[in-house]
Amino acid sequence: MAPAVQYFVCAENAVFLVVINAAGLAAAHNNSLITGDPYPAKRVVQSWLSYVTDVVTVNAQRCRTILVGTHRDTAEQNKTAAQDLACLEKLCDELRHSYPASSLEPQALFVNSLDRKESRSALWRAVQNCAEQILNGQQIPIFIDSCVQTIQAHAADPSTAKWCTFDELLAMPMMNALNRDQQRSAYAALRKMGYIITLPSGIIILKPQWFAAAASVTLSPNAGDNDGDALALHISTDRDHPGLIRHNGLRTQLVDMQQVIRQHFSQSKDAESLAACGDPLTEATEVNHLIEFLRAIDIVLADPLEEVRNSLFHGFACVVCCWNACLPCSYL
Amino acid sequence: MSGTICQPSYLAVTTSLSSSFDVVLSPQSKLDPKDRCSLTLCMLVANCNERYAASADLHKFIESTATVRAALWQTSCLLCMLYMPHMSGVRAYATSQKLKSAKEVTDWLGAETTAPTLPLAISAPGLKVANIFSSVSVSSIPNAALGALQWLNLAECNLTKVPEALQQCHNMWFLDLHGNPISELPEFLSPMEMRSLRALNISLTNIRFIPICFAWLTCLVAHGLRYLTADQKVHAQQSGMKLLQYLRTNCGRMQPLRRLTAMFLGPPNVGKTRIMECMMKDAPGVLALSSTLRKHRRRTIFPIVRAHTHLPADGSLPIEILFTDPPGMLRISNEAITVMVLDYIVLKLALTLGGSLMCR
Repeated sequence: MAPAVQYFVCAENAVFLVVINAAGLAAAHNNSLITGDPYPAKRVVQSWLSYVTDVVTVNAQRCRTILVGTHRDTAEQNKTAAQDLACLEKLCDELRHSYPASSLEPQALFVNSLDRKESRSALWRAVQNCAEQILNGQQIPIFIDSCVQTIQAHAADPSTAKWCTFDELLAMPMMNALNRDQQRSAYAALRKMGYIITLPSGIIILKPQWFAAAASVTLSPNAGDNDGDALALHISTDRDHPGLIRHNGLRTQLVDMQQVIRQHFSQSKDAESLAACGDPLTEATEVNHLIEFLRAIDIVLADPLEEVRNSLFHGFACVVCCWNACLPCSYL
Repeated sequence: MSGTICQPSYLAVTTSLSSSFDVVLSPQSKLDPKDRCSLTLCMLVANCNERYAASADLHKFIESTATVRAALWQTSCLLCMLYMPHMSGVRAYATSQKLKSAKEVTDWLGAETTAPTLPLAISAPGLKVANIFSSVSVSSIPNAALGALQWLNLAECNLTKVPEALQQCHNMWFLDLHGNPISELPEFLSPMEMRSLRALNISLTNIRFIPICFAWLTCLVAHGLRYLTADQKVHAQQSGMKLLQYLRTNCGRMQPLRRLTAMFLGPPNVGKTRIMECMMKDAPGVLALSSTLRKHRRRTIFPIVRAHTHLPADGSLPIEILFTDPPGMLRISNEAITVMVLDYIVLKLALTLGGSLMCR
């Protein structure tokens, strides 16, 4: 998983859906019996379950995990659906004992992700079942639920602030009416439930979708073979020093990217949160802040030598290193 | 061995070699003075070894206690077992160190039975204080006459749930459950049901939520609760009293939690976003022309964080779900990128002593 995304996964009461392409699973399994190596889908699921185990353990989270195989339609066309399903269930049964902390559900799903009828209802049945198990008996103060609703409405409104300080959060109307203890509880609950993100610098991100998208763009690699017709958005770094880019260069590219996004993704919901307001001055200021936030979570790293130089000669632009490396390649 | 064995009103059990006798015996002081005067002690030291049995603390305790009936008992191999009415017990204790087997102990004591087992001991009628500290062998407490019990310590007894037998402890005002992997507090333990209960220690347990009915305890010790809900945890970290105060302010203002997060994990191009979109769309009606989504979709390049309200078909309360759909991982074609970057990462790590996000 990209490092930026790790900021968005730690939430309370989570249902993880581990998704793999299950068409041809039985054939891959049979091949693995010959070669002796675990088949790719198994490795993928193992990696994710291991990841879920880590997240759940570190964050003391309550979770359930569902294994979902997709491309059932392809398997049906190839007449391997029954074998693939049997293999998927066997894999699920095997791994739920190996990763008990991930609370993998005993029943794996084999779905066609485009099917709004049977697959949709099967998925909802499974998620609802997990939800009932997780939420059973849990209660929440009414004021926290109100805060969550308010922050959701705030996040959906493009004209509202994307970030604020702790004091500014407390000054918001939803918090203003609460006593000190309730404010602390509401803040902790909003954080844990994933509705806000607190950076190490103390800045509170009120729109996680926007921040996730911005961090993701900064980390996006060049277009790959599997991208299909997806528009490749990536930051071009110094040709002679790959991975390095000057502060101004990064800012200019991020501002330009906003325009590209508006142009190409005007109809797409994926990028709606990234599109800033139309005012170029606001955009430039916003991008400056964004770079600072990305530095705060080490998505971009300041060149330490340049920082020393800057402290000696004030006013020089800082060189930043854009960490395009995507650790999960080795993680998997 | 002379003297009749009367029913104990105090029971202390420990398996912890490091636990001080002051800790094990401290509840004595919690009793009424008139009870303390006539106190008959029954102390079981389970799994003790020679080092422990010979400890100066134990010796001092036995010497300083006027009325004591103590049983030192080891589950794996019986080291010694003593009944010590008054000071004669001290001599017996000294003698016992030479004893080798259970039979010798039994013969020496003139008793017909070996050491009492824990359930038998705790079900002794009239028992007022039970200090069963670090007794890993305790898995349940039998349904016995526990009505007289006032003070019960079941700390670190490896209990996964609160024993139902405690429902009978109508006079209990103190209960210590700390260090047990208990995940929930049963309602019968609340001050509404168990009206005498005043103090509760649930530190270092796996409790996830403290029901509002526990707000009326006088004292709550609740530190180190890793699994507690975020809103309660911030107060528990300060003090138990702060948590009680918070619970009291929310009294009558709670509702069932119907919020959770759902996250899609998996490699790219397997249909994660498609599944999310499929789930978020309404089910097709009877007259719908198509019940499938468009096949081709742009690859997801941004993590998607989206809220959705699900209305269960069975008519139960709606569930608010925060979907998170990060893009699948991609291989980087430009290998050269990583070389210099890794140098910087190492340098940065050295400078900042490790960034939490860097390595997974």
